[in-house]
Amino acid sequence: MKKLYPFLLLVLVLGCQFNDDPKLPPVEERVSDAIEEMEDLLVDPGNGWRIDYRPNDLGGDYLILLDFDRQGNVRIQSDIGANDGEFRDHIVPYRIDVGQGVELVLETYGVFHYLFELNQTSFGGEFEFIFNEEQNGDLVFDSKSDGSVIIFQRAIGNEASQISIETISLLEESFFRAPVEALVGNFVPYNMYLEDVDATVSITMDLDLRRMKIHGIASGQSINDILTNPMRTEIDHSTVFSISGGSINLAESTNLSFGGKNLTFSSIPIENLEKTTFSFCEDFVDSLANFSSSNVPTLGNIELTSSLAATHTLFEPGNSSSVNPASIFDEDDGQTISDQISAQFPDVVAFQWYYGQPLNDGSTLTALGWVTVDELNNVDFILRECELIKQGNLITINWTGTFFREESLSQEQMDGATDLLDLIFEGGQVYMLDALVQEGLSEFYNPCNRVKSFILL
Amino acid sequence: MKKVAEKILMIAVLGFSLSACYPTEDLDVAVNEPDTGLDTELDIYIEQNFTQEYGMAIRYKFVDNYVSPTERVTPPRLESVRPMLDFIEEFWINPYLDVPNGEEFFRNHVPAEIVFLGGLIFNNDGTVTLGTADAGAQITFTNVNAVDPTNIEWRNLQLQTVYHEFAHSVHQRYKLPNAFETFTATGYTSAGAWFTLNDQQALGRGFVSPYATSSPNEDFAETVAFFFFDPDFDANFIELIPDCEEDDCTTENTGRNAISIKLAAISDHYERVTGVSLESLREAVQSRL
Repeated sequence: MKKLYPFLLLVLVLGCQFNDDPKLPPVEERVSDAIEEMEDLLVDPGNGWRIDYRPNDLGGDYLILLDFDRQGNVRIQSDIGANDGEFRDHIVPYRIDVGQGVELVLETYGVFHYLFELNQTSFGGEFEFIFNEEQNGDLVFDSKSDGSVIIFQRAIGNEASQISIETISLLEESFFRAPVEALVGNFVPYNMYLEDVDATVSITMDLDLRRMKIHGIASGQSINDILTNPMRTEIDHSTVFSISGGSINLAESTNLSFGGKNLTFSSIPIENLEKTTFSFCEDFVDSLANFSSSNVPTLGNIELTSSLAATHTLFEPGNSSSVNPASIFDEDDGQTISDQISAQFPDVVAFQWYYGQPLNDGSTLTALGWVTVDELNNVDFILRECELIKQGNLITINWTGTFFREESLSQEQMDGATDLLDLIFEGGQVYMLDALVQEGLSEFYNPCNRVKSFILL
Repeated sequence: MKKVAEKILMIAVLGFSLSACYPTEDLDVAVNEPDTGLDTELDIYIEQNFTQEYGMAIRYKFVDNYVSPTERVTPPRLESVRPMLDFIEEFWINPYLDVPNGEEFFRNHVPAEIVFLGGLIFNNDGTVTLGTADAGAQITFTNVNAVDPTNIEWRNLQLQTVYHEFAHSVHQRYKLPNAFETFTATGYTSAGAWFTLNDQQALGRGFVSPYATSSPNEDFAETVAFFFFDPDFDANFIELIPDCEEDDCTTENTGRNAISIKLAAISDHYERVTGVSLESLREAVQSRL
């Protein structure tokens, strides 16, 4: 044992030579230094920071400018016109935390929180940023929620002038229908008349998501031309866009030859707003927005008008879809009509579309109706046969008078189901409108009673 | 013995040598502590009127550990905070100050922390939570951005939340009324199944809401909350339907009778353990609606 004493002494003497750097300051000082360094970086640029913010791959870019001060506040300017322009220019407190890394937290509600909450928080917006690195003067952050990268670029000085507030205000005049519910976005169908080729291009734009779909082109300008003119071509081009310089700028342009002319869709000016009216159902007059521009490159003179009509729709024979009754809405009050449905027709679990559905015997079924499940889990169908006539995206429903139903259903239940179908399809026509938040998601909209719902095609 | 002593010495030396390698660091340093500085008039107002007055911290700036990692929330907009403070003062605090023994009860039971959230709580499983509390220590108000006491739907959501959560402090500290669990013993739902009931089915079982069927504690809190904020509580839950012959009607009357019995037990218990009259509190609340 005595032989070990020198070794033990050595251990005692040298044991601490593997210690941390004795010059390393205590943790609270390191935390304080990290916060101070982050604050120095944030307040450094004289013109603040610019973010071309794309919260998810489905949507386009938002221009956001940030100007931090040392009092813990950040002035935020953005080109997002929601909530009556609340987010165009606002100040929120910020905090720098040191947790898993250095984190920038925007502490009260602002534009980033708005984007975070969109689509029931599935939109991809973020308001907690984990600092990653400084890269050529830019600050690279990671989203705390999903790890996506957000880059703060040093602003040059004139970025605020690029925020197209007027353009966004003009576009908001396009909303002639009440905003649609969460999860389906805020989309507007437009028709763009091209004077040089006497043809109309159908476009749907989601102004929140900043995504558009160019459906197709048809000769002529009237609603009847858009829906029925046989001179038509499907385009089916989807792209995201940004808004700047008074225009909608497509991230991916598309080309088309029509009427002997090559057309390139890359930018659509939004100017010269005029309000106009149109009656999509004889009992209603809808107020539409019309934008006109001259000599647009390759397109010539154009008129862009909000609408319901489109040259094309995804709704095709063979489509069948189930709809949760809770997602059938009366647009006038924004409420679901599910209570009305269950009051008239208890146990209903689904509203059912069958459009040219192939059957085992080789025939097809076109019918609309209801699916019920009783307390014993017995599933019953009550379907009302109809003929669906498709013109553009306008669907005309002609009831044949034939019902398909389980024998267990009472006459009273059948009458209730029939009344509900008459209510939903009052006027006999609905427009199919492509929602852009999900491929295949369409809204059917009845212009005669403002009833609408969503089906996945 | 000597060998044992030598071994002990050796272990002690090694232990000392290793432990000596760690620099002295304070472990009680909060690295993620929210800034508690009184930066603004709003912060000063909160400090004076809530923190110092009642020992109640108001959290309106976002801190992620105020909610579960599975919950996705946003903070309120700055402009909504003061109106929300006025709202909870008028409709939650002041009714207690108005009734005998109410102030003492309120001060002794007030939760340490009130959290304001701008919108609703979105859960990872796709559900939405309207309001929440944590064992009487924290009450969370959701949808503060929509603050509007004249909006009955919004007001009822907030009042239901705060009266419900505050009612939990009574049974947590003083237990439930005697045999409370037995009054509607067969009506409680199995874990997580309360949402399969609608309002009418819950009423038939003797509960003021489907959520009340989830446990005796929630039943207690829901009954107190509805009794406070629902101006038509008697008509909706107590008064028997006359000339009742159909099965649905007799079921509902059975439920109404059960609620009446439970309310009487709650009222008696509440006054006995807190010294505060449930009926007086209801009157103080209703006079403000």
